[in-house]
Amino acid sequence: MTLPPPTSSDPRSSDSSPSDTPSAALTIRGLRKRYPGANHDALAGVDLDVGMGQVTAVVGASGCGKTTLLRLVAGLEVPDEGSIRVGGEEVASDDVWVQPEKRGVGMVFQEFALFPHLTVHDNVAYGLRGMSRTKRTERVMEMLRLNGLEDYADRHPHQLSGGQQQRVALARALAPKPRLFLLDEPFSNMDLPLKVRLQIELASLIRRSEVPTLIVVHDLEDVVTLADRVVILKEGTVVREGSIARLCQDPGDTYVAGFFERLRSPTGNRFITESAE
Amino acid sequence: MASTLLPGYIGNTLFLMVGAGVVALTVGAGAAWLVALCDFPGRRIFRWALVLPLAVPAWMAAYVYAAIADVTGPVQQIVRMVVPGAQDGFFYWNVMRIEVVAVLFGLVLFPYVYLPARALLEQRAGPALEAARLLGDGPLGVLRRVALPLARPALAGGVALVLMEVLNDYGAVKYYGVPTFTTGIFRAWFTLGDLDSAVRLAAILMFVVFVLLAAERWQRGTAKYHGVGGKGGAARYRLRGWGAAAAVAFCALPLLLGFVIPVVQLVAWGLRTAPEMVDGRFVRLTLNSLGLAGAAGLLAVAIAVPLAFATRLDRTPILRSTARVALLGYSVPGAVIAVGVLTTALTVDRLLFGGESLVLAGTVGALIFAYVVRFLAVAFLPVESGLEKIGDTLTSASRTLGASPLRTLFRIELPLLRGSLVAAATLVVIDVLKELPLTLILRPFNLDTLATRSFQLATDEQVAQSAPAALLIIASASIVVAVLHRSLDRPTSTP
Repeated sequence: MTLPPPTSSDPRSSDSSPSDTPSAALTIRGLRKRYPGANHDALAGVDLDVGMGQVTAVVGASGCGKTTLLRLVAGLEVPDEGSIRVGGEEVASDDVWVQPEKRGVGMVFQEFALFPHLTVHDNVAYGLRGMSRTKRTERVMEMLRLNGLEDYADRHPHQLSGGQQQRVALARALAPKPRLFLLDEPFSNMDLPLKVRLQIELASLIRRSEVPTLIVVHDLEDVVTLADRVVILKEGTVVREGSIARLCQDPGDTYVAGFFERLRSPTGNRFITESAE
Repeated sequence: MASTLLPGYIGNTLFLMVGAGVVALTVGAGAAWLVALCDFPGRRIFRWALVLPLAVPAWMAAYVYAAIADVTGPVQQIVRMVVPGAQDGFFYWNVMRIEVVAVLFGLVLFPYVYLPARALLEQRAGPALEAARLLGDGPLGVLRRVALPLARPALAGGVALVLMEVLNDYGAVKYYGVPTFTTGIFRAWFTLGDLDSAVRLAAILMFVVFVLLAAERWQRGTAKYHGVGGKGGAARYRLRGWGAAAAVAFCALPLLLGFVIPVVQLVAWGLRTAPEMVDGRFVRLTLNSLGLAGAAGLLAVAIAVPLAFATRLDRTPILRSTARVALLGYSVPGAVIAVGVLTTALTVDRLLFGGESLVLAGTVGALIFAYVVRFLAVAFLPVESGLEKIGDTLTSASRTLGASPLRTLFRIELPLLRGSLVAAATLVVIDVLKELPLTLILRPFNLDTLATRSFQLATDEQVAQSAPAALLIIASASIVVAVLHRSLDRPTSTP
């Protein structure tokens, strides 16, 4: 069986993609980016949607452009071409450019980027503005409780474990109730037990807060319990997208199939059956 | 002497420290912020060019500006020609003022603040700054709430270096007739022949230095965190129109004033006077300078290498504090070291040789020794960081393969350290070439260097004649500053 190499213009094996209705949380069309001095596009015309309340995972090998995609959505890079809409509002196109601080996007960085000079409380309170002090403290404590951090409010980041730091980063990004939640490789550099625990916590946190989420990982295994939809990125283009179960049955090519390799292991299969149900 | 002159010395010295500190902090931190976090025309050039003022010794900038901007200089002549009513001769402005010296210090020393601040913003603070933006902060909010608190230790360290250079200076304050501790030490020693007063003034000056060092350590201790922890820089603000013009002006002005204008003026003078000045004597001056600087550089590295190895191998408190004391020389003003070395040499001469003749005092040996005391830290730091980069693994591998520590040193560590050793020696050479107060006090009779000769000519109102020697110093320092900056910039290879 030979399949033609899929390209971004291919009709994708997608289950009914949430189109760019005004209510879509994120709509990306024809996004292109090349860094100065590079000899190929970091992103070569990407279309992507995240529906309201959906968790979409972008999966790809390192260097495929997934972090660039996230930074473009956040407004930390400027696209060469294409448009980005967040919550129905155009934030980047040929004639529109909204600064990152005005996009209402929450992001958790790979290395958390907690402010080392502020306490846990003040880190979480950082993005809360336009509310009274009591309201703000209430909201911070609510977020800390939600993340099991209420006893750590007065600590500084360096006094916390890696897992606790990540939960502070999550609480900080979600506290201002963003329109879209971005996660950059949330499980890199973690040992397995911690990783599994955080995956479960993160899944329940995202479901409870109902924030549409775009999560970027290099290992599909990291998002089987999390993602409603998976987008496979290769060399700056989307090669495949759909539910995990769907892609597992019909990966299309060896690149995509490679991401499922580990899931086919005895333990992995259990995940697939669960998420396919 | 104490009661009459001391209040003036203290007042002037404090004024210069505050003035130079404020200018250097504003310019250095502002330029670092712009270059690291904004995009504007010429940014990449300013990024490295803003280091160049370090190549201009403060005393040189001082006399060049005095010549340019004084009553008889071109600036005021033009003003008198252009401004109506000014040509009557009633218009003049005296530039030989303490305020001018303070600003000049700030303009040539601000890279001490700029470099560490920029390195922090470019290499460590990026994620935190981007997180602040995504949480809704505009540029000023990011600056006030995240960038400044994170950069505080780097800024304070830079300002401390600036202040120590101010305390060290002799030439600029002398030229502008501003009495400070250093000029006081010179006056007591040379004019009044009063070594006791010189020693006492040096002691007070040392006290100021210690307060400064303690304050710097204390503010570092008050930080509740260690290190910024991040990696990489942040997305840049794109400046357009007036914003971009303001950024260019902010970076161009200190570069012009701290480097371009003095150098252009010196080149203009140098072209005129070089035929007359560059002769056999000039060659001798150059050889004197290079000989002294080369000897001090080699000796400093020869001491820095075992010191760096010792502190790495043996982490006992005694050795560590000994090393710290040995490195303290860099914060001690040259005049203080000179007085210290001189009194020691005189004592040794008296004890060993009965005080009949000066064997140590007033020799090249005492001078080189004093250079090494002052600049040992300059040689030590590159060696130490070079050793850190090599790490312990290679040493361990060599030892497990049966090589003795000494053999490991010569087969593994020294070859790998070669770049660091060259950098260390070169930095010392440049510092010695620029050095003035220590050389003036300790040099043997009739031994002149490029720096002392250039300064001497300038004080004798032969400013144009001083240019060739001055340019040679600036040129060699510029090359070293630029090359080292590039090599520091190269991404370090991590195994």
